[in-house]
Amino acid sequence: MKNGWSPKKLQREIVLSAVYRQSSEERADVVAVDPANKLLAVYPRKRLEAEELRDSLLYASGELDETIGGPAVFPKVPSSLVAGNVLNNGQGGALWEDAKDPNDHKRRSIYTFVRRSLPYPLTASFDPADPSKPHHKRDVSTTALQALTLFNSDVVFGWSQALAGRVISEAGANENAQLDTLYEILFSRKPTREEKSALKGFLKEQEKLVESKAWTDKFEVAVPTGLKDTKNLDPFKAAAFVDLVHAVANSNEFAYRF
Amino acid sequence: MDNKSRRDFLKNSSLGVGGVALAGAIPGFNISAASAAELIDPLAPKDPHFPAKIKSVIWLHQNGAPSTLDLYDYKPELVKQAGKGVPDSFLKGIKTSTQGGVNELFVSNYRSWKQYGESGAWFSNLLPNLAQHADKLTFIKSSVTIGATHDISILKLNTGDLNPGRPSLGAWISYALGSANPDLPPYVVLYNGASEPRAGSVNWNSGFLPAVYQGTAFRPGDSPIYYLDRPELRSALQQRSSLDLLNRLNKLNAENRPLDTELKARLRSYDLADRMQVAAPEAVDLSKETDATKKLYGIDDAITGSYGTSLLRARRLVERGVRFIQVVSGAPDGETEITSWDAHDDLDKNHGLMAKMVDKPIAGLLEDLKSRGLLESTLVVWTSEFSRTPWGESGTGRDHNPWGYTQWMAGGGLKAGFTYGGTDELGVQVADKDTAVDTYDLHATVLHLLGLNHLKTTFINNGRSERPTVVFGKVVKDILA
Repeated sequence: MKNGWSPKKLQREIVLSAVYRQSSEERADVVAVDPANKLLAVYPRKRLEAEELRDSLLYASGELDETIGGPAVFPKVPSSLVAGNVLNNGQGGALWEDAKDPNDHKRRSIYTFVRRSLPYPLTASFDPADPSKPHHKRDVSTTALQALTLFNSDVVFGWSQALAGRVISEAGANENAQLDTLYEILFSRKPTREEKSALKGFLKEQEKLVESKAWTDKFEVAVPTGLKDTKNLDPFKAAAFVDLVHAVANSNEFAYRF
Repeated sequence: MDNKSRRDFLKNSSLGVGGVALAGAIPGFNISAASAAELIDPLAPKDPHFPAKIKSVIWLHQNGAPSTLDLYDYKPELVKQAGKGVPDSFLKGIKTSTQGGVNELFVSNYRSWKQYGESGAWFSNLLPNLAQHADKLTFIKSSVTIGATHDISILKLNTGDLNPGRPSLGAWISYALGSANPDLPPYVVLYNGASEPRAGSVNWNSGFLPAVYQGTAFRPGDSPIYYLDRPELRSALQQRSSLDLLNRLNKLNAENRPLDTELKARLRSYDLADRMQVAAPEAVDLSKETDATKKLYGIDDAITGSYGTSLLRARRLVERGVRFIQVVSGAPDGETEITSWDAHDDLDKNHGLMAKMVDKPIAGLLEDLKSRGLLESTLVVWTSEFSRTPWGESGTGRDHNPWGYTQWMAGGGLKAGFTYGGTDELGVQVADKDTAVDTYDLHATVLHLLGLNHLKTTFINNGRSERPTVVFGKVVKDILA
């Protein structure tokens, strides 16, 4: 109030407070006396909300279109959904037609069209606000449908391809530098020694796996996207790296704010 | 299918999927081993209030509102009076403000009636196959609801309210009983035809209950759930090893936070997703069903095929422990003109097609459930948002009637071959208002058969204790065995 009811000053006060800046490190002594952490002795780790998760993935991949304003957009939905709604909006049109402008698929989630009868599938299982209600307190659930969405969606996988491309562009060909850059982009830290050995072990094995696929009739792999120079790209190595990026982007550390 | 592993895991290590109960609580949460599973896994199976008669419900929503006056509710007086006006005495107390107005009483020239079974239940010539199962059915011929437009009354049929925001019946059941099969959702929605069900997901959403209890729509086709298939360019082996890496990274991350159950729950959710990827397509895969079974459901026929497929899938889901299966009637494959029971004109053409689409599959479902010994532990409910008037609209159609119509149930815990209540001589309204069965009463009765007291099935929302039947509802005791 003293500051003329300025919300900006209030926010500054909150985020600079000692409470807000507490580490989220688990502390056995705190758990013993305050298991629900009501007194906020440690920072309460939170799962990213539906839109935050989508936007963070888009942002990390370097794909996010930060255009402000304008009408709501229709990002890509699974083709089975489009097929099911051809005649359903009462005017002979589809309830959801993927936007023609590819940039519309990468807009911030706040611009995603909200249709009560047809929630946007990519964020639907992450407890988004219920548009049927004037006021909504969000739940935080953890379900298999969320895991399926993040791990299997072609759209999310495409962002992992773009992120892989971004990492290679920024870090060059050196494997160590690539892993460091990936972790810096996603988690603002370098991987630990244990993590690095797990990641390197994976790359080696996955490369062999991808290579073995090359002997089947139809060989196609998902390689990093957005690269300027693809001449020197080893497709086996590149595909293995995309898989690595996708797994790291799916990890708990990305889905939660610690 | 691996049904046991997850439960065992929960018991042994008190981890599980879901963090609903823990929302807001952070690292660590001192819980006793006994309640651990329930606290952490919102879908852990829970005991009913009293022993249940049934394990699963198949909710057959006849979308668009069939005229039960043309299916089950035989009115000789209506046949006699056809072509005449409706006497005022029959319209007392009701507001007939729907668009069609009150026209002359109408009877189709093609309608004929016969009694079937020992119970002598009447069926019209539109349902020759279902009629053979007369003695399995429990008719409620005094159903009432609030009639408005379809979308609003469908919402009431499923959630008990005319406005969006309340949980559907299936969501309440998932919340109260949890999941009997950890690899599949406890509440599944099936439909046939080219478009999604009218008014969409508000009819199977969880309202103010946590989202984990909402229905999962299984879409027609081989891959019933979104994102069930891995990205196109990845091989199964690639996917497997990627999951292993993810697992390893998550475990490393959780090492510093040994008391954080939600992180472990998320780790677990990827294992479950991995199993669901196998369990869900398997549950709807009809290739292992015999030709005789497929024929029983009419899957070999163009008109009955898609609805029959939904119902055979429903039976497979019942076998796999799914608690609530909401089947919304759509249209035969390739049919674009008649897509629901909404016969405002040319009732003969509309109901001729729609009745044909559902008659054989539903009869097949009842026979199949019976022969597999599942009918005693399953409840099949024929239900609709409202029905249709005895007077005609546009000459050959019928308008909406929420004042008195027929719904039926079949299965465990009920008096089979029994009729409860009735409509007046012309089929306008419920004859004895004391016998009227509203949506809330139907919901209370379904919950009762599942071993749940609708008054004790509660959830605190905005400081108010809410229940499935809002502030209404009575169990229809007269139909219970």
